[in-house]
Amino acid sequence: MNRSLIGLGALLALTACGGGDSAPKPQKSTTGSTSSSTAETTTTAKSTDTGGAAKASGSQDWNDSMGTATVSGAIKFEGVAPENKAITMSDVDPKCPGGAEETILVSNGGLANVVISVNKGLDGYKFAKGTGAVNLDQKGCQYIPHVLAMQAGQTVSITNSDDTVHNVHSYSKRNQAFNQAQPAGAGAIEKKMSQKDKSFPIKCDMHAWMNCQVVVFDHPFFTVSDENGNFTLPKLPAGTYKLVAEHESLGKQEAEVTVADGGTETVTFSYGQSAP
Amino acid sequence: MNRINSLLAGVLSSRWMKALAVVGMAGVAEAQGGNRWAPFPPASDFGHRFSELFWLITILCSISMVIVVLLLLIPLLRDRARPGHKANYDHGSSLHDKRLTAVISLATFIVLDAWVLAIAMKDLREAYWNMPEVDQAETYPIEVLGQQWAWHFRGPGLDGEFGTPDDILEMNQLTIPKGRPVSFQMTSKDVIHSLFLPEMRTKKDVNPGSINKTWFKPIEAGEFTILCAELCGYAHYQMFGNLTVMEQEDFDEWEESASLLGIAAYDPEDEEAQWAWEWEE
Amino acid sequence: MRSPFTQLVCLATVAIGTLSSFKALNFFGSDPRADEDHSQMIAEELPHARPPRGVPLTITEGTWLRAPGEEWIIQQNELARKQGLEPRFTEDPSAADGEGAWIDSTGFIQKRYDEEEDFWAYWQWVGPAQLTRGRRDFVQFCSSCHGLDGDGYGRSGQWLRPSPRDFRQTNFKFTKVLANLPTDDALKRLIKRGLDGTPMLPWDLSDEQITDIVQYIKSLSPEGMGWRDPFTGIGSIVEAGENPWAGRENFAIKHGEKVYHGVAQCMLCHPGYVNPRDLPGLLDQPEDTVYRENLYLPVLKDSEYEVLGEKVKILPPDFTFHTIRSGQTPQDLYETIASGIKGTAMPAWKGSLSEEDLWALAYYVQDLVEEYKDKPAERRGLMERLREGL
Repeated sequence: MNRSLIGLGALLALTACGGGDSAPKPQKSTTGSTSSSTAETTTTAKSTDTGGAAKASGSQDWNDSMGTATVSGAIKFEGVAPENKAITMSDVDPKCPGGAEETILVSNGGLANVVISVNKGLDGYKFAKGTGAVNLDQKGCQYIPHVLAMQAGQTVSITNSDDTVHNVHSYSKRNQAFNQAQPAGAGAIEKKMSQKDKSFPIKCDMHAWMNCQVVVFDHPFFTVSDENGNFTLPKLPAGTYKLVAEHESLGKQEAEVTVADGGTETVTFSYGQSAP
Repeated sequence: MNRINSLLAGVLSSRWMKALAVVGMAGVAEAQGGNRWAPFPPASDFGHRFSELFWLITILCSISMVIVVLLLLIPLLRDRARPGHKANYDHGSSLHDKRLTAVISLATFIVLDAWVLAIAMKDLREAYWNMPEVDQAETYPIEVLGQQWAWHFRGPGLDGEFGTPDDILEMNQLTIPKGRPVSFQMTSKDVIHSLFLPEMRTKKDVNPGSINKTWFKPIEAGEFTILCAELCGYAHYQMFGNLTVMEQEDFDEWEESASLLGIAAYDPEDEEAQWAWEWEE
Repeated sequence: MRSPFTQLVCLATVAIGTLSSFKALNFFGSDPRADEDHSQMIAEELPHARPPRGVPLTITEGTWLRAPGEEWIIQQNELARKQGLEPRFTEDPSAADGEGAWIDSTGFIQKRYDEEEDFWAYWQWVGPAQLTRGRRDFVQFCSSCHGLDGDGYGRSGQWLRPSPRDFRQTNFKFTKVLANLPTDDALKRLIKRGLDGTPMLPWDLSDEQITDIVQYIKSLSPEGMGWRDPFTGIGSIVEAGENPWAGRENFAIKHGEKVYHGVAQCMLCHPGYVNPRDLPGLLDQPEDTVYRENLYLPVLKDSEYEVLGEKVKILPPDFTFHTIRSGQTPQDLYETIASGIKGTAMPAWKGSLSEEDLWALAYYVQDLVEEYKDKPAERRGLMERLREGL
């Protein structure tokens, strides 16, 4: 009996010794993208002061007068456009008028609500944060516009033109996500989108069909195709760019385009039923 | 004589006598309908059997203890050392003593243990093990899932079947009808628990990996206690719940609401949440 | 002299004790069950098998986590001054973006620059000793449901709805803050008071233990998410301010009913509690309006919470039936309604409704709970009144 107790005691002592606490100095052991010491922090701060955008040394501050070229074009939809399902809203909320899904909107062979933006070729410029507000309205229990593109630094001002309550539920990863109620007659919800962000939805949980796609860019060269699928990107500086067209359900397409000062180029993207 | 008196007074004021007095008071309290000195009055139809057995054992033990203590007093007084009398020591090893011990033990066993055992076996056979037929329309089935540190109960809902959308799910709260046998099938997710319903005079271990069964028939409506009677980890002491026994008509209303809310909460895509098992006949 | 039988029992006890201690000290070679692969196999085969042995409890490296921002730091300084202590944080103009920042004198909270993201954020150092203490308490108290890795899928957390929090999703329902992430205080409060009607108990642990557990839980967020993401906002608790209905509770309940079915339209998700004949009056609708089917039942709603990679749905409570999770006093209900429930369909109502309306809603909900919950006869009366109009 005694031996067994000794054995148990030894075992307990062994386990107890396993957890020695020794705290290393906090400063040096960090990894990752954040700078790890005050010294590094100050050097970065200096480089920011001299106007460098951290990456390219020869980049210059952008202003609108620098761009004179234009890229315009159209988003085509080939084949038969799928019919948008009607949404019966009144069995959820009698104050909603009813409508149809807005995912794929085709008119005259053009696809609406495609976000077109410049993806590569802007390294030489440093863009100031966007200013002003972009309006997102809730009307007829749908979001207007259905796709919203904006620049980092801009404020999205969400209003409710309906006679019913909505909740604005943002699923943003980089900007502060929120879920705010907005009854009829309540003031606009102002949210600043300070960081660029991939496409994220804003939804209303009370009316499950309501959803809106928001994309935030860190430069001003983006647009959303109009109802006939046409788009224009004005005030581009001369150069070669990679254009990206993104549709919420039909995916992304890329194209390369070169424009000269004052020139205009046309780019056509085409989506189909089975487009990637 | 004085010494004997003081000795007796000492014995009477000892803690044993106090304990006996407490038991006696408890008996009185039980007869009066119960208060904090006694166990709660039984609320199930076989509960009185367990109460009776409890008090029988308590009284038998009390009586035999009094007898033993009194018998002990005889040699204590008779054989003690006193002026002109040397203390008398005896190991009880003579044949006569051994026979006497054997006879007393046997008599005690037959009178106390065998009697109690017989009553206990009869109670178990007639009540505790006498599970009601499950297909009997009036039996209300409940599936119990124990976990660290909560009780989950699943009622069959309006359709009487487990694993359907209208099942009634409750946590640390069980609602049952009065006057109908309630049949339990129980298992545990993690460690051994023990479903203890003190007022219903029932307690059964709940083991992971096996389905244990128990039953009782509540005869009183009201709020009762659900406990865990098996040390199951750090928060074992917080693993308790509330048993509500309702009159049949209240229960019907409650069952309908609970069933409808169960359907409202049912998500067919979330198969993981449907932990019901097929009722074992 | 002991009897031979007693001697035999003693001998057997000693022999069994010796053998078992030999086994414990591994005299007979390694225990096959201790082999990790083998125990993994057992875990896969049996639903109720033990977790693998050798679960690491010691953490050797500390970590930087996102700290609450400037406001919190100034608040901390004020608290310290009130207690007559030296404030911990001093303004250091050289350390930050030129506008100055509050820096911890011990170096455990810093404002630091993220080069790639061009972003400044406050970071907090959590040392390995604290993380180890937190890990141990977590494994002892929390892991049975929240899992040994904090994945919300411990042995006891399986099949549970609402599911236990997966700490890698860094989303919390009842912390009662407006921003994404709660402060340490909000998490501590939640652990201490528990969530009614769920296996999340009120944890009777010391302040130090809860602090350690909270730091450990924060360190479970994956890279680029939650407390490891500079952009995620940390909010403070929404406090119930002055009660505008004090002394006029009955009016509050009446007004709350109007708000519930009128401007806030809570019955889009929660059940309605007035007869359909009265609804058009509250909503300014024509008399013949048809409301949603099953107006007296809640509607199952999507949530952001995942179990095994699948999103789970959450049923908004019927206040006359379900247990309110986070307190039943008007103050508690005000805080819950005002701040919303993170990751679910319940939005924040603060700012969208007036304070009077919010408090009235809180009183109305409290009244529903008091009048009808666990009272089948009263509840039956209510349901009969409601069904009259159908």
